Amino acid sequence: MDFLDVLFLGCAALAVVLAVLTVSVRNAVTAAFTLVAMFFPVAAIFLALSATFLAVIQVLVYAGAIMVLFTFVIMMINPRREEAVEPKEPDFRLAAAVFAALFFLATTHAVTTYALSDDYETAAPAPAGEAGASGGAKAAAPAPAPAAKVDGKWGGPKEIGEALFNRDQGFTFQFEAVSVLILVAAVGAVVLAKRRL
Amino acid sequence: MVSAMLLHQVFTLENTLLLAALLFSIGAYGVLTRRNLLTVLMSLEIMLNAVNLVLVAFNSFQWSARPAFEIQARTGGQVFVMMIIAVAAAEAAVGLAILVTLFRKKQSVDTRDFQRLQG
Repeated sequence: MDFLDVLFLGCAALAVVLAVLTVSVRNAVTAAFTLVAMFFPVAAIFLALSATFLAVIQVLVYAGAIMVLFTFVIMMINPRREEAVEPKEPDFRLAAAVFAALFFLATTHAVTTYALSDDYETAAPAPAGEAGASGGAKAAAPAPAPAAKVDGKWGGPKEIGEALFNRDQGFTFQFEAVSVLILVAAVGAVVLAKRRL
Repeated sequence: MVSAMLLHQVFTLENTLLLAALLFSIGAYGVLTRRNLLTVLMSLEIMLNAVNLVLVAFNSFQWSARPAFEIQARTGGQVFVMMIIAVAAAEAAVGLAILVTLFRKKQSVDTRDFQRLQG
């Protein structure tokens, strides 16, 4: 157990508790603020995974922009009828809980059954001669791979920018497509929500 | 048992994936059970965040420590997450605009009030 383990455990517990609160509290405003609080431990886990730029983006976009949108809409529509009056439908709740639990169990089974840490070693671009040899070695003794050491200088704005805007194999087309999508969404949101244009 | 846990490494790819699966299940439960459209959208954000966590975990644990690959392969997962965050922002904007329009029509954000298409 080193520092990252303790950080991960604390952030994971906090995120799960806050997510449960978000889906269970009656008041929409409380749910919005627990959701904001949930984004921060997830951002901290991004940091621990050395995705520093994404951690900042997470806080800025989710905890900033999206939550401002939510709180503004809550203020606008001012839902006076709280969910306290909702009739309990225990059957449907039970079905949903069973669905969620089954999904979690299936994922847990998949994650714990298939050795995720092992098989990426063979995916490395080995020279042609070594490919068969490494495959045979893996079949013979699948040694438990040590957890990959994440170096600190990774996932900063520089690396993300280099990957995004590389001239030959970057993601420039995807970037432009997403920007057009956001523009369309902004215009569409205004058209939808405005009373009279 | 506690001392054995203290020796173990907790911050692994598997445990991060399990956390993401747990968050996704919580979000799915919220989407299925909540009556308030606002909280349904909030649960949807939880699910999206869980998916982002999966992508970042795979990228970080399996790709970042391999300088043999070119930079697109190594940061591809994080670029995916950037795109997903952008699409999530667009989705939230359009979803909340639809919600406001529905509220103008029915003076309610309860999902049971929007069952006109039910036969």
